[in-house]
Parts: sequence; structure tokens; C-alpha cells
Amino acid sequence: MGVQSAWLIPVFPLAAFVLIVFIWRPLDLRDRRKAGLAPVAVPAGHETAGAHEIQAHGGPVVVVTEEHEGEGHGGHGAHASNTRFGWASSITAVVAMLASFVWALAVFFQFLSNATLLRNGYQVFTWNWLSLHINGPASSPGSAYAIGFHLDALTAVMLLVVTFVSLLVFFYSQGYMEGDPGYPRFFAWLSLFALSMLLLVLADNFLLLYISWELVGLCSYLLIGYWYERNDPPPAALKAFITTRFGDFGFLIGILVLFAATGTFSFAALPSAVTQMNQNLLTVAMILVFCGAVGKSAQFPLHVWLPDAMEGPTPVSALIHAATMVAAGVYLVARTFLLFRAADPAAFMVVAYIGGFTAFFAATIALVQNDIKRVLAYSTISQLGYMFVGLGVADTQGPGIFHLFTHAFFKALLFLGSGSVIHAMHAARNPEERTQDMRQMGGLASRMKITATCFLMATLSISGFPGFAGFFSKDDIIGQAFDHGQYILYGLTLATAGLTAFYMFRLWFMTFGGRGGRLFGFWGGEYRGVGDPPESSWLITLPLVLLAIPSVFVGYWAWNGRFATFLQGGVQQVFVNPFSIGLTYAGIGIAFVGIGLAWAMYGAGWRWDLAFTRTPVGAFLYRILLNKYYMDELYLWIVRKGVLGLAYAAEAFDRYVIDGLVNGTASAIVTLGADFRRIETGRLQSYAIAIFGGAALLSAAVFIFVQAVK
Amino acid sequence: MSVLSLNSFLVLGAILFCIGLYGALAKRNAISVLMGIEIMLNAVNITLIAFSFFNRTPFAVNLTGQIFAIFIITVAAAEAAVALAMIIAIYRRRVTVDVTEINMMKW
Repeated sequence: MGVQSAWLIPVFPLAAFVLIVFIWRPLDLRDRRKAGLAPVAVPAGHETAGAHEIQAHGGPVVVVTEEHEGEGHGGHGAHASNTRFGWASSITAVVAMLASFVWALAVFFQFLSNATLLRNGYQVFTWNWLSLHINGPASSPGSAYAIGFHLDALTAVMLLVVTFVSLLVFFYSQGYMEGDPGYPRFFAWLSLFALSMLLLVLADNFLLLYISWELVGLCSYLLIGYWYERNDPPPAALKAFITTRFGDFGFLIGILVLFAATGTFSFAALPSAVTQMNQNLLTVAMILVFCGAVGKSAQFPLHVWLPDAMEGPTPVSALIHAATMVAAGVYLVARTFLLFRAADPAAFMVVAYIGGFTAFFAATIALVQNDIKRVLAYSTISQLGYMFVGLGVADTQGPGIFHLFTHAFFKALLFLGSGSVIHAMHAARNPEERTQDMRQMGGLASRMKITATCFLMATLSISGFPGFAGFFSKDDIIGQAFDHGQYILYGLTLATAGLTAFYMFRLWFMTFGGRGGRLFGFWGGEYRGVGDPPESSWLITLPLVLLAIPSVFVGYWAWNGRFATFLQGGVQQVFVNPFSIGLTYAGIGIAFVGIGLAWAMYGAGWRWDLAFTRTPVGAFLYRILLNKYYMDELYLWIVRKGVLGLAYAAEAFDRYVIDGLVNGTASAIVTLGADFRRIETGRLQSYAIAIFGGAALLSAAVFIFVQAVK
Repeated sequence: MSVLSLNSFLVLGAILFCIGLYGALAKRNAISVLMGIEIMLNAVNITLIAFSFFNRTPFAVNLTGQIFAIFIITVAAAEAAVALAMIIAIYRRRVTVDVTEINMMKW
């Protein structure tokens, strides 16, 4: 047990996937048929759906998903229940994930305790996937494509994060998805996702990484569109898939450029190989690779898919669209960190500025969203931006990956907590109605004490409250931006910290607190919805508690630079106590300003925001933010005017120029023939005239020619 | 008194040929056209024989042209027979020998 058999870690979810798909799922379907249950949920609220199909000139249908009215979950509440095979599939998935987690934990502790292992990493296996000997002997570059698993500190951290969050989300889903007709299908896809994500972090080369990169994209697509019988999820799934594909296209070209220049895909061989490469080409290649990260991690301008991905079930949002898959872009940059460093500094600047801009940009949108999951979605985009800033400005992967690490816990917790709230809202209401609109919540803290306590921990953590995990990681990134003289990025990230604190506490007060609550509105308050939302079952609250613990405490791993040292394979890293520098207090101060403003507006109920939106400037800003800077509309416009315009132009070219040439040749010949047939009089004498006249002309010509030659 | 030279024969041949050509192209009666063609053939014969006659050395006689002319006379006889048969056949069918009216072979 341990690093030697680390290949087992992805094998467990693979086994679960196979078992569920080929055994539990068919049996479950059979049982459901026998019991007379619907094989799919009956679509509810079709008429109110927000997907608009816009038909352009009878051309292709362009689909834009708009704000939707609530997710609902699990189909049909307390009435529905699982078959025994449904339970079997979830237990299979959870047990497999538990095994993976234990294994990953063992690997992680081996890395912690064994300095040699930490310094050198461990190659689990190498397998020659393809050997082509076209251009020379087997040893010639480019003739063998080996794939394998490699363990190092970064992989160990990622394995721990992925298996831990996956385990808790799997566990949580048992309660959250209970009674859903597609229960085994859900767990099969979750297992497939876990498998792909583990492959992604274990891959020792671009080839395997790209394969698993696309596999997680596929799982994301499948799980966003999990409720395929409803109106909104399928277009959202398609949007996620296609938008990330734009980035992946660049990624693929980047990989191929690197391969063409160096002849290897291996992460171990590339850093030394690229030193022979033209530096400008390397810079371009790395920016192309970063395109993949932009798509996967939903950075501007490819961020538009992530908010719509919230159409998927909430556990999916927590696992895939908050903690793991979207962080794959960050992981990619960290994995190729040495290549970025070998390239021109411009490559890192692109990373940092895209990250910094996205962090600020997404945070401003999050300020005004009313859908609880959408606030969290924009918050995720914003936090991923932080990670890219951390990778782009710092000398090591440390700050960026540490934020990935802490963010995975508290953001998964936030999503699972919001799922618990949505679950409770659903249980409190008529099953036909669903809401995740925060305006219909409020004061839930006194009704759902466990959920609220855990949620508060995560909220404090993401807001950068001193001492919580998010504080250490985020403050480090902001500090790195300042230390490296990137004052624009410093300003952006600092302002974003304030915005983050504001929108997170806005969410807190609108959902759990509010006017009339205890502790000046921090805890409980008036409930604006209907019914009586209960606390969720232990299946749902247990993962929340287990996530709350790391959300609070993992920050201390950074103390004395332990995390950074670990990530650098045991090379001691400089550590500066954040509390000893004045800049930190600027960050803390701005976070408190954000919390205070949120309290004033939503906790104490002095609605300055309403007053502000009544002024012309305020109304204008509010409308822009509410419509997400009209990015969706802009893309729709580009598609309509640009892509469709190009298509129409191409069609016209085909119809009038290409077809014109073909048809024109034919009709010209027809016309000429119609005219020339008049010559065929049928009178022999006129033919004879032509023959003799022609002969006479020819002989005259020959005569003249001969004379001229003489 | 001048001796007959090659040119005299060639000019005679050309004149005959042109007369025959005119007859073949301009006459409307099929018999006249046939006669025009015969005249053209004979013009060619004169030319061939003239070339043949003047193309000789003191020690050898070149008879190719004469033999050619005999062949042409033979072929012209056959041709006259076939052409007259056709003209009679057409006359029986269409009651005319006007070539401008025999124009079925058009578009």
C-alpha cells in the first residue's frame, strides 16, 4: 500500500463506474419498471423555462440560456424513493471513493514523511502506448509515445483534494439525489468523473493529460445535462462543452507546437528540452496551452459557461464546477510551471492579467445576482482568477496552488451548503415550485443550525477573515502581487477581496440572516419564503461538517512556509508572517469594509443599495451588472452577425460564383449550340462551298507564309 | 511557234477545275452538279498527266501520274454510275432533281 500501487487510486472509481453501468443500472431500471415508476422524471415547469430559441433567417437555431427560476432537485421530494439497486449503486460509488481516498491519504503521508520521495517524486509506471518506427530507430525522438503515472508533491496534494471532496460529495449526493429516477446514472457519471480527474492529476505527460482533460469535460457535460428532460440543462451543458472546446483548441495546438519542437510529451523531459527551443515560439506555445486553462477554469472571455453550468445538480456544481475540474486549469499551469518560466515573462503576465481581470470582473457581477448558486458560480470564477494571479506573479507554484487547495474545501462547502438550503426550500414548498432565489429566503440560520454554522465558516474563509483558511491563501497572493511590483494586479486583487467579502456576506444575510435576527441580524431573522424549511438529513449535513473543519484550519499549513516547502519537494521556502506586514492589514481592513457594508444593507436593513440603484448612474451600473456585462448577448450577436454572416457569405459565394461557373459553362455551350446549328442547312452545296473556301483560304495562307519565309 | 510547256497544261487544268467547281457549287440540277464534278476530276487528270509527262529524265520515264489518272477515270466511271443511280432513286421518290430541295440532312 502506498506509492508503488498508486495506480489503484483511479481504478476504484473505474470499477464502481463499470459495476453501476453494467449491473446496478439495468437492475434498477427493471425494478422501476416493475414498480410502475417513471424511468425519467416528469418535466415540471416546462412553460416557465427560460431557454429562448432564436431563429435567425431560418438558419441554425441559437440557444441562449437565461436566468432560471430555481433548480429543484431530486425530482419529486419525499414521495419518491430509491430501489434497492439505486442504493447499491450509491454505496458502490461511495465505497470505491473511500478506498481511493484512503489510498491517496496513504500516499500523501508517505510524501510528508519521506524526504527522498518528496524530493524525487515517484514514477508509478510507464507504458509504451504507441511505438512508431517510421523515421528511424526506436530511440529516435517522436517514435515512442509513452504514458505513465507520476507522483510528486503537487500530485499528492491534488489527489488528496480530489478524493476528499469527491468522497464527501458522493456521500452527500446519496441524500440530495434520493428518489431521483436517474439515481444510478448519476453515480455512474460521478464515478467516471472521479476516474478522469484522478487520471488528469496523475498523468506524467501531455498526451494522457489531454485525454483526461477531455474526459472531465465530457463528464461535466453529462452531469450539467443530467436532468435532460427539463428545458434549461441541455443547452447549458452544450454551452459548457462548446465554450471549453474553444480553449481546448488552443491547448491542443500548444501541445503540438511543443511536441513538434521537442519531440516529447513528457513533463519530466520537457523543461530541459524547451531550452533548445526558440523562446518566442515557446512563449506562443505556452499562451496557447494557457488557452486550455482559460476555457476549463472559466476565465474571461470564456467564463460564460460556468454560471449556466449551475443547471446541473448542486453536488455536481460543488465537485466539478467549484472544487476540482475548474481548478484543472490552475493545475495545468502549475504542472507546466517550469515551461512557463522558460518562456518569455510575457507568458506569465498573460496568465496573471487574465486572472486578475477575471477575478475583479466576476466579483462585480456576483454583487447583484439573486440566485444563490449563481453568486457562488461567479465567486468561483473570481477565486480561480486569484489562483492565476498567484501563479503568474510568484516565483513558485506555492501561492496559486495553496489557494486552489483551500478554495476546494470552502467552495465545495459553500455549494453543498447552498444545496442543503435548496433542498430545504424545496421540502418546505409545494413540490411543483422550486426556488433558489435568495429574495425568498432569509433567517434560515435559526432553522438550519448545522448548515448555517458550516456555511458561515466557509463564508468567513472565502471573505479572508483573519485566521481562516482563505485568509492565508488569498492574502499571500495579494502580497505576492505587491512584492513583485505588479501594482495594477495588487489593486485589482485587493479590490476584489473587498467585493468578495461584500457579496458573500450579502449572500449570508439574504439567506441565513436578515433584519430582526440575533446578533444584529447575523443569525436568523425574517423568512421571506413560504412553508417551513427544515434542517436537512444527516446524509447532507455530515459532509458539511467534515468540510467545515479543513475550511477553517488548512490555512495553517502555510505557516512557516510548510506548504510551499512541501510543494517544492522539500526545498525550504522563505516565509514571512502575514501579520507582521502592514499590507496584510489593508487586506483585512478592506474585507471588513465589505462585510460591514453587507451588514448595513442586508443585515441591518438600511437599503443603501436600493437608494443607489434609483440614481441614474446607479441604475445604469446595476443593469449592466445584472446582465453580466451583456457578455451572452455579445456572443450571441457575434454568432448572429459574424458567424452566420460569414456562413451566408460563403453560401452566396458557393451559389453565385462556384455554381455560376459550372452552370454558366453549361448554359453558354447550350446557347452557342443553338446558334451554331443554323449552319447545318443540310444543303450539300453550302458544305462544299465551306470545304473549298476553307481549302482556298488555307492554301492562300500557306502561300503567303511561304512567300514571307522566303 | 511555241512549244507546249507545263504551264499551258496547268492553266488548262485550273480553268477546267474552276469551271467544274462552279458547276458543282452553283447548279441546281443534280445532273449538272455531277457533270461539274466530272469536269473537276478530268481537270485533275490533266494536271497529273502533265506533271508526269514533264517529270522525266533522258533515261527514265515516270508513269506514276498516268497510272493515277487511269485509276481516277475508273473511279469516276463507278462514281458516275452510283451518282446517276442515286439521282434516279431520289427523282422517283421526290419527283425533283433540284439539290436545294434535297436538304433532309439538317439539324
